[in-house]
Amino acid sequence: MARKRAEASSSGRRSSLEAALPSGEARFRAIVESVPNGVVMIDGRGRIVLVNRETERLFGYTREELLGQPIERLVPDRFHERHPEFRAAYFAKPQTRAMGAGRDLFGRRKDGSQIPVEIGLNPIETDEGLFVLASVVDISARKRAEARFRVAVESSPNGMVMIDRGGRIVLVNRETERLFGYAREALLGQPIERLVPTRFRERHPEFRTTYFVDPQARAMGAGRDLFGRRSDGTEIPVEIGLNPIETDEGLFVLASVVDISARKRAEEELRRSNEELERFAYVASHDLQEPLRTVASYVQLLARRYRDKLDADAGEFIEFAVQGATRMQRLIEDLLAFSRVGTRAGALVPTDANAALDAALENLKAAAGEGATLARDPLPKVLADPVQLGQLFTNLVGNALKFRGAEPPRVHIGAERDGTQWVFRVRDNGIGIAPQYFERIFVIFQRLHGRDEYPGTGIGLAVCKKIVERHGGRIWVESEEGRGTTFSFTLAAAPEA
Amino acid sequence: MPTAVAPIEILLVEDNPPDVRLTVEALKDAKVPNHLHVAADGVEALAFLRRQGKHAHAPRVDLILLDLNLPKKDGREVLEEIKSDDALRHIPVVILTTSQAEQDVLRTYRLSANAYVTKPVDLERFLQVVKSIEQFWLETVKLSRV
Repeated sequence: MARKRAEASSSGRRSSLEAALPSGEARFRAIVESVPNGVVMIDGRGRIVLVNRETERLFGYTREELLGQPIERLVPDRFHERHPEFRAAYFAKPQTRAMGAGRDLFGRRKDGSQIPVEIGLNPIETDEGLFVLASVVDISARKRAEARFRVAVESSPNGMVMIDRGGRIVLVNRETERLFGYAREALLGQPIERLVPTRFRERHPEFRTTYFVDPQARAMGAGRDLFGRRSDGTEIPVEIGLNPIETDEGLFVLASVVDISARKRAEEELRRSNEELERFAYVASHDLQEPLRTVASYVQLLARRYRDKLDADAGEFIEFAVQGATRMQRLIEDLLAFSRVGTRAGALVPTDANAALDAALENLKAAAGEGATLARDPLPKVLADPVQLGQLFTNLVGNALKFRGAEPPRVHIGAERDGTQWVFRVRDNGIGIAPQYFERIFVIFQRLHGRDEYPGTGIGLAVCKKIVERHGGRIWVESEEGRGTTFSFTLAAAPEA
Repeated sequence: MPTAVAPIEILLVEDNPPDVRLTVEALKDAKVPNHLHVAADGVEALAFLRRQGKHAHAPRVDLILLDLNLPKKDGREVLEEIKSDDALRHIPVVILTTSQAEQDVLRTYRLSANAYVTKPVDLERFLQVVKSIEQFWLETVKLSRV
């Protein structure tokens, strides 16, 4: 077999084989004609001896205009001078290979315009001597796509960095220069670790290798805080998206880098301001209670001691003063309860929701009264602050009992699994809520009813929302007026023991 | 029957004059005969309990009503000292707080008071509180006699 192939590759043998094919010459021409690439054959002196239809189309010449002409007719003027030299070198050492080794090649059309091309060279030995068959591919479309890619990358508002499998930077855009404070030239060819803070550098190649094993478009660092290292050694908080790019030169990764300093600052600012507000609410409401108590107590003492000596108006005025003070006291107590959700929070631990509900129902015994029906499904274990989970049930079941309709109240408490979390539901057959209030009911001190109808300050659901959100969950309401209400909230499932 | 008992000696540790006066007024109506003594801060309260300085002739205290927010030594520190003093530990302490939040704070320090009372905004309720303190006292007396 090996011997046979060696024979076949000897040129003299090959041409005789071709000759042996049925209508050899005609068939050869038919094949050349139908190839989608431009095909040009030249002889030892660089004269064109054969072209196909695609060559005519590519270069805008007719066949007759090309045959017998030097190949340089198809070469841009600026390469004319050196081209015969390259040609001579090829004839001295002919082999099948791509022309131009890494250089960008262009063809010159009849109208003088140029087209980017790729050219494959094949030596053909014949009885009449050595010929070279050049296969020419128009790569304008690919070049345009590349150019578009470069423009897109360059104009991206994100820092774009492309690396090869070895972790070397092969492409950066203007924003990357600005973000990291390097000139493009200082980055190209360098390991990507140059942009990684020194404390992460050691482990980074490992992450990189892992990524190349299973490359997919995703965010880098999954929940970790990421930082980029600037040329001056300072660090910036960043978000990085990774995209594998398959090319004929192999796999690359394009990283899109966003500077999130401003967002981080804003988040920090917000956190601090929230904390301050919470502390303020706590201190203010706590210290407000003392003078309030004094006012209320002494107004009442006045009433008690001097009732008979004052007239009916005075009695009414005193009553109003006491009512005002009492209501303010409630508001302050509730405000304190609300701020305590944040300031007196316990750790999130695996918690049996059944026990939390037990505690809540114990608190609600009086409120439930006669005739209320409570149905409960077995509840799961969740990650929660047990005290706050109890408070959550107390408020939701308490509301279900409080806002009862004409029927005796029926309350159902259940939970169903949804991925890594549980969705709890507290359903009642009470008066319901109109849809336009679905958001408002969760806002502190928002009430939908007159105080005579239903007492309360409007704190319960605000506390519920704060508790659930502190646990990383969500709370919402579904309701139909007159039919009943369902409050749902989510909590993370406790890890399996 | 506890009716024949000598007057209860009550120490009120409270720096807010209106609150002191209110307690005085409320105890005027109390069924159980009592003597109310007032200390305006924690240091004075402890001196009274230990009969130090000008309090050398102070009576033995039967019941302490302790406000939490005090100058010099706050209620939490006073409670801590009382409960770690063998001579005082047995005296029942009722903590007067202004909010549920304060009780929570206190519990986090794992200090054991005998009772917590949130000062109510409403006079009627305040009078009830005083009554329940009386009740508490009677129970305590009964218990200690068993």
